[in-house]
Amino acid sequence: MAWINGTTIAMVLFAIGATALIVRRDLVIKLLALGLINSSGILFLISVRFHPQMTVPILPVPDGVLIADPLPQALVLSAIVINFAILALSLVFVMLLVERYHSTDCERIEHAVETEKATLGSQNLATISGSDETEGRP
Amino acid sequence: MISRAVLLALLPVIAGVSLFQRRRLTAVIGMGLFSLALAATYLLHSAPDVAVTEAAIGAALVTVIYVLAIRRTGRLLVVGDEVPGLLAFEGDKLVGIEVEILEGFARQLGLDLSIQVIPHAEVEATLLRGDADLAAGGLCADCDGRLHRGRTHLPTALVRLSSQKGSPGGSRKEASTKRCDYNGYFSDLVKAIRSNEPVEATLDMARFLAVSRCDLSDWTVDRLSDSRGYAFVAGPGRADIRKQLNSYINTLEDTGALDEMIRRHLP
Amino acid sequence: MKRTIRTILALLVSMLVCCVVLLDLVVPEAPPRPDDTILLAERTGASNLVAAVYLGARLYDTLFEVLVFTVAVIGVRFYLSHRPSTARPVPIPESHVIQASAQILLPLILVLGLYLTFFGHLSPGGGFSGGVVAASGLLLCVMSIGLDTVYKRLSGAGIERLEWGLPMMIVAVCVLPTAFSRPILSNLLPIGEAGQVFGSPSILLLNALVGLKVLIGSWMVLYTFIRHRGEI
Repeated sequence: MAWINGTTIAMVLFAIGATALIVRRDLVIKLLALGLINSSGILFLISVRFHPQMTVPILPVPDGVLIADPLPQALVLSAIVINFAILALSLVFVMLLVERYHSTDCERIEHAVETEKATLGSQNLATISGSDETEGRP
Repeated sequence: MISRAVLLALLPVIAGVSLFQRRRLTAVIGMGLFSLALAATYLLHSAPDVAVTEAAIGAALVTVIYVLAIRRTGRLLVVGDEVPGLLAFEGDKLVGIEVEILEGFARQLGLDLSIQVIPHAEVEATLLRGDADLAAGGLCADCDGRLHRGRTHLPTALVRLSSQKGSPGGSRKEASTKRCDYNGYFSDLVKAIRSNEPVEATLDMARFLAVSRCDLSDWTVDRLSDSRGYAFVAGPGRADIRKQLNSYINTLEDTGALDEMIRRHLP
Repeated sequence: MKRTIRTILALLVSMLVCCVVLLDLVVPEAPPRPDDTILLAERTGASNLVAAVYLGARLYDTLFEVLVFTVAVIGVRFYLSHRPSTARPVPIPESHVIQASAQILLPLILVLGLYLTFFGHLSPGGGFSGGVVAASGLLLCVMSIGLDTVYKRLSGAGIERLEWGLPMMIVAVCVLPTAFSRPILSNLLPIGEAGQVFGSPSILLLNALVGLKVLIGSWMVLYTFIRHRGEI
């Protein structure tokens, strides 16, 4: 039972998040898995130096009691808010992709993008080869 | 002490179960629950600031913006394959009986209609995944138990078509295939039949009518004995759409508009 | 394809096992020294040591956090700006349950947000959590009244101009101590009695500014999403 502490569970959560990120093909679930990886890192940072006898880092503290380390908690606070902002931005991109390609499946979107690039590339080739000759050397 | 261990052991279970769900909404709500459990864990690890922030952000705001990002934007998504007479391309537009029914239905619901043509075999999988609301395009077979089948708007029958030059693979498929069955798009099938490639397919009457315009002297045609009907199929959990669609088709039939549509598109 | 998935999974599982085994060997056990924390409290005058850290000792990091948040909000508004996605926004008839419960709950939520923000240096909370709680209160408001009403009232009060001005104000509060010949990023206002509300007024001021920033930023994100996607 002693091995169920925050650090090991954070590792397990990281592994679950990474597996879901690779295996699932839906973009929204990939983002959820990324959020899970973030949360696992935060849990790890908070629970690294934690004893069960430690108390809350707020100041009127009785004598002889250790305080939980306030430094990682402060750093992690900013990290949570930044995660939310970055998640909002990445959801914007997912929404734009879905509205364009009508699917959240990453393989289908990649396929559609490549076919688009192929058709656009074959159109551009003619114009590029035409304009190259007009550019003279200094 | 024990509650901390129990909560920590519960976290991977919640995360694992919610990330490997089939529906996206279930995964989002599961991760909201995971955020709450994580906030409680932070509290038990003597980090109350982090706990309050994680609870407020993870459970409230993140779940809300995911739900907003997932939902469909007031559109009725229909997928299906082409069937001449029911859902066919005329130049760039789609015309047919089913197209008219769907347009009127979408207008009644106040949504935009968006029809996508995908290969016949993928229709059910798309519905089950939740990527579409309705399936159209001459569906006349029994569908998966989770999907909701509407009422038939046009009766039909099944016809089995096989090339006499010898079927690919050497073995005949049993006539117990009770569904309209072919690979890929219908237009590819027509091209294959025209170029006399060996093909095995089970077709319904509308598709067969289109195919019969080609030269079918080399082909064996068996008419299967059951009679079926065309219907729309709604995705899992969209029984409300099926109910509304049924009532809409009922009103169409009562006013005689349905018969008029059939007469116009299928001579 | 299945084989690559299996190999990746095996890789991850082995990584997990290695980490679990090696962890107890790598991280040394050293409890934090109590003297540092008392020094921190005396320097900033805050009882909540976490607030003392991220608004006192580590103010520079908080500045950049504000910057990243601002840039992300700008990005969200920019990328969703050019398209009126719902051509006729369909107003959703609000359920009376939501309206009635919002009338009761909304003052409580806003008071909780204000309390978390303004007492963040004495008890758990702070600018971040206070701002987020108040933003979820605004969301409840939107769900019960309707987006356009709330937006008109808020932008009538000049919330967008406030959003532009807040990062500058936060930077100004950080830079101003140089005018009083004190080092940059230190306390702007003098410290009073530790443990009282106005015991550390500069931390209170910074908490309030950061809370307001997070509130307005989250509101902008939510508003842009709801405008683009239709009301909940």
